[in-house]
Amino acid sequence: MNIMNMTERREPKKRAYQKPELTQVELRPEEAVLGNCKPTGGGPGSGNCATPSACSTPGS
Amino acid sequence: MIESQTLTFSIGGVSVRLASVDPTLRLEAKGHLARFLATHASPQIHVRAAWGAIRATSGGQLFDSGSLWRMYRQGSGCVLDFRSPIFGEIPYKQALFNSSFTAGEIRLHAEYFDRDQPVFPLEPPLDELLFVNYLATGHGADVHACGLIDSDGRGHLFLGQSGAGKTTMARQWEKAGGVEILSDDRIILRIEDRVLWMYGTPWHGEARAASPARVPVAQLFFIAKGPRNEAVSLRPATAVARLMATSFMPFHNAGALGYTLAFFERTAQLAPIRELRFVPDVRVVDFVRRLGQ
Repeated sequence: MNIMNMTERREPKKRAYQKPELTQVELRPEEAVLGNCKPTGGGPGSGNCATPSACSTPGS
Repeated sequence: MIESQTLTFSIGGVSVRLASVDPTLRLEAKGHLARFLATHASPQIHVRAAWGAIRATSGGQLFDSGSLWRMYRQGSGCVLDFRSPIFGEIPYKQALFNSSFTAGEIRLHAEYFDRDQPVFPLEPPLDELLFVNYLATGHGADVHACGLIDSDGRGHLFLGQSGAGKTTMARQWEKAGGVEILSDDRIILRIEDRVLWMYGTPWHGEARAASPARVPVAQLFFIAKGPRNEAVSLRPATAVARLMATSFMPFHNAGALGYTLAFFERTAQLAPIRELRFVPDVRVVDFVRRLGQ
């Protein structure tokens, strides 16, 4: 093993600097928390449910 | 405790055994859930249901959905109280689960129901909440998406929030023919042996598409309607962030969020993820199929 090879191992090729990017994504809490039944899913708003509770789910 | 009736169904490869422990509580699988009824020798989740007097839970609140349900801590598990503006503060239903969401009890407030009629105690949104919490303990994720199997048996997944075009997309593939829509609104993702699988669910959208089938995911798209068909590959970090924003998860549970984040990092390694802008006509079908070749 010569000195040159050792040096090459110690200094791996550096990657080019990439500036960090901030990406914002939209979250819709009223959909994400499953607060209501889905009207089409057999729930209280579908007309064939047992519970006469109010239901107004954000749709699909 | 004597079980008077049982129902077993399987969604996303997860089997639930629902038992009535009250002879006057008759069970019925409603809507598209009937397609998911199955026999299973060893279900992963066991739930018992009965009529009962319910008191509102107080203290230890973990999460308020802002609508039908609130979650409270109870021992190592939790309680979900379901209220309706019609009935006020007394819950019409209460569901208790252990910490792994593998065992639960549901009490239905008898005064609020027509006891002559059969009921489905896991009526939405409780059924999906149960799956979301169970999957987040290390089993997968529930995403807001349309998933389908094309005529060559390949799985395509189209993610997006309400209005993105999931049902519109499903209808274009139905027009093209030879397709099986797993759901036009909710898909369960699981990773088994380094394969990303998608499963249909009974929680459908306006196209009312719901199938218990499953298929490996060939490609994923975040969709939006646009002036022409175009697809752009997403950086993994962006794809993971957008997967988190189009999935359903227990926001009160840091461990569950950590698992879901790691699950989506693996998802991004197992299938190409693109943003797809599409014209809502049948030409998008060939466009997507060519991308997958």
